[in-house]
Amino acid sequence: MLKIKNFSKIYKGGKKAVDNFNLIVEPGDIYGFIGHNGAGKSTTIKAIAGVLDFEEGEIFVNGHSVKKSPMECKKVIAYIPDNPDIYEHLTGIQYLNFISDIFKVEKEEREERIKKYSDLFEITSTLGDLISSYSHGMKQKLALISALIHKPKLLLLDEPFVGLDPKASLSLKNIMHEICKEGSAIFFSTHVLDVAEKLCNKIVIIKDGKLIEAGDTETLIQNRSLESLYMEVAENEK
Amino acid sequence: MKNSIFILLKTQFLNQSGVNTFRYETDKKKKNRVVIFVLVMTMVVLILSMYCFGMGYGMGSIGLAKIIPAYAFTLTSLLVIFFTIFKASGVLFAFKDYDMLMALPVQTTTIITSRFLLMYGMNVLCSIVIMLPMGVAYCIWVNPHIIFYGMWLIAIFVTPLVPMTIAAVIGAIISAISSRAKHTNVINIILSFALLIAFMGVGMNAGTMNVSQIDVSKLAALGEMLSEKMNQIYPLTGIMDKAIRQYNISLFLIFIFISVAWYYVFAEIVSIKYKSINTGITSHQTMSNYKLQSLKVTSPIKALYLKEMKRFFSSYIYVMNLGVGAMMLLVTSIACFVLGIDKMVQLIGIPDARAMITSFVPFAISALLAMTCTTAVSLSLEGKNLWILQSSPLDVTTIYRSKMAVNIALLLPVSLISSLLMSLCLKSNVVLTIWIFVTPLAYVGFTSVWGIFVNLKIPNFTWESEVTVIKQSMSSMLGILGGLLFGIMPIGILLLLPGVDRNLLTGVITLVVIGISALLYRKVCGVKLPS
Repeated sequence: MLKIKNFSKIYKGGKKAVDNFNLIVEPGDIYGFIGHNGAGKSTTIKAIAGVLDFEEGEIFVNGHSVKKSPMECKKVIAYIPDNPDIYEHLTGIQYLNFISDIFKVEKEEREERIKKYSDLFEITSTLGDLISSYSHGMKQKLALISALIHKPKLLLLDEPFVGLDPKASLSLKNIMHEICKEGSAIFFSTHVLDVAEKLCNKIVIIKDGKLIEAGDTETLIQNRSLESLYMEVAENEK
Repeated sequence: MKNSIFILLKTQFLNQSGVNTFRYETDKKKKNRVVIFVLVMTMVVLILSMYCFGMGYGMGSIGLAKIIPAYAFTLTSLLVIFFTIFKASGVLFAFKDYDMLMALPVQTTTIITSRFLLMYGMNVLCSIVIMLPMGVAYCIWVNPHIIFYGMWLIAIFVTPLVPMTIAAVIGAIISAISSRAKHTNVINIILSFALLIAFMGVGMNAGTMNVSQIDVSKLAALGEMLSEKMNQIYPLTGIMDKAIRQYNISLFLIFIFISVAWYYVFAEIVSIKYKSINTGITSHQTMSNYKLQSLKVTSPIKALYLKEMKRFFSSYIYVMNLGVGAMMLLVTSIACFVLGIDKMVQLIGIPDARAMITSFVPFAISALLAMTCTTAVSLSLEGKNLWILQSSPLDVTTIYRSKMAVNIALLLPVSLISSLLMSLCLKSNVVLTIWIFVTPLAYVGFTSVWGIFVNLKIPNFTWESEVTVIKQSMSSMLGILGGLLFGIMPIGILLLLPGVDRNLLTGVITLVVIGISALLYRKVCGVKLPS
């Protein structure tokens, strides 16, 4: 589903934000992406989503190159940034309909999915209100619904649990399991190691732009917790 | 309190001006943008100063030197009112850092004063540009007493106070009324446009001097008439004029007292209702009773177009700044149609204006239309929302087309209505009628593409307040003024080539405009969305 090959991102001034990053995400994977602040997580996710240009390496989504066929990739991707700024002058339902139009989702499908997810996240009654009146958590929920409308094959989420109430967090975890069972893959960054440990079947740790560890969660953790593994790895790399 | 005002003012200045970008930004492109902006602004200031000096010197050369101070004072005051009135409510109320500032241990009047002083700084610049060169021209012709220099220098800094406060009061009233309404923004826009129309009416009325009745050989009488007119428009002119020209220090002190006291009373009154006005503006009424209904399916370009249209009408300053050209055109053409061209000629106060209007009307309509260049800021206004477009499976051409379509949709009806009204009003012949319709339409297309072209060259997605993009960005300036300039330039060409058939020349220029638009369109469609 996702293949990252020798990916490097160099920012102006010559600083390498990500250095020679390689990873493969299979259909059905829930891949947790862990690292310090500024380690290169958001940069990597943005490059996969086609939001950020990159100089070295290649990224393939569903067999298509992000560089050469960005449109083909974007059609099957859903991306939610860490702090999703959405059009505040639209109402919630107008925004969801707008995204559905952009992804050309059929009328029946969009109505069914909007109902399903907005009920699940308990924001149906507020969909007629302007987004500018939403709290941070409500905006996050709306952004998540908009990401799920076109049934993406690859879901890219940057810190998806930030701002969500406990019930919404649980709903999101259930949805993540559900869509992965249907063959999609999820690649998401998080600082909440407990969530990553319980939710992800695979984990990748990044530090200073370099991949430190990647693989099956169980194999990597063995008898420890993800927290102790992460601390150990971070210490060793100092 | 003084210290708090200074701290707030300094922070606002650093946040809004490009000083910090110039000092600390490592991206050379961003740094260069600040340098270019400063250079362009310096050039504009120099050109305007030279123009004002020329105007003052010209008055002196025809024996009207004594009205220069009153003229400079009235012109500054009117311009300050005009430029502040639509900005005041945005600067004083519902600004982005309102919550943060109000939570600080500073008095409300301190916050109001710091916001007010920020506007004052900009208006003093306007005052310097007009009053300093005109004062120099006055000195050349009159050679006044040394007291004049001191008074004039002080007057430059005091003059903006009263008009600014008047503008702020009107802005506060508009904000207070609209804050009580459900659709705050709509009420705000309607009231502001009503005010603009009223302003245009006053401006036109001020020009109703029957020039034919003036014996130009009696210039003293003309001077008296102009002074009287200015006093009518702005009563403080009389006090200021007497004080300056008669070196009357006590009268000058009264002028300063009125200016400062007027502001003080305003700040005190506004501070009482400040919180409730802001709460009204910033809080939204939520219904929270939505029930899912059947959804309308549209194509991606139509979805983008509708989103863009909502974006335009949801922003007060977007509508007021970029919609003003179209609005002015509509009001003028309705006025022409209702009052008749002869009355309009009389209102303008220029003899033989009818022939002039008839010759240049296709370009005059075009110039006003071209000022409404919404595309010049539409990309930048995506700001932090840009990720939505970047990560969507959309061809960039679709995005640009949707933005151009909004600009065209806003201008097309205005263009057609104005063309119809003007051609009926002027009772133009068939050929002129064709140009009255076709030339503005060519400009509608041109301004829409020109805006995107400019915005792609100099985008700004990292703004905190949309004011930065709409009012202070280079692309906005190039979009509005560039459009206006492209409309006015052909008038200059027509004037320079009096021997050539005007209809033929208008046709050639229209074709050139269409050609440039097509060229720009092709260029724009190949450009990637900036990241």
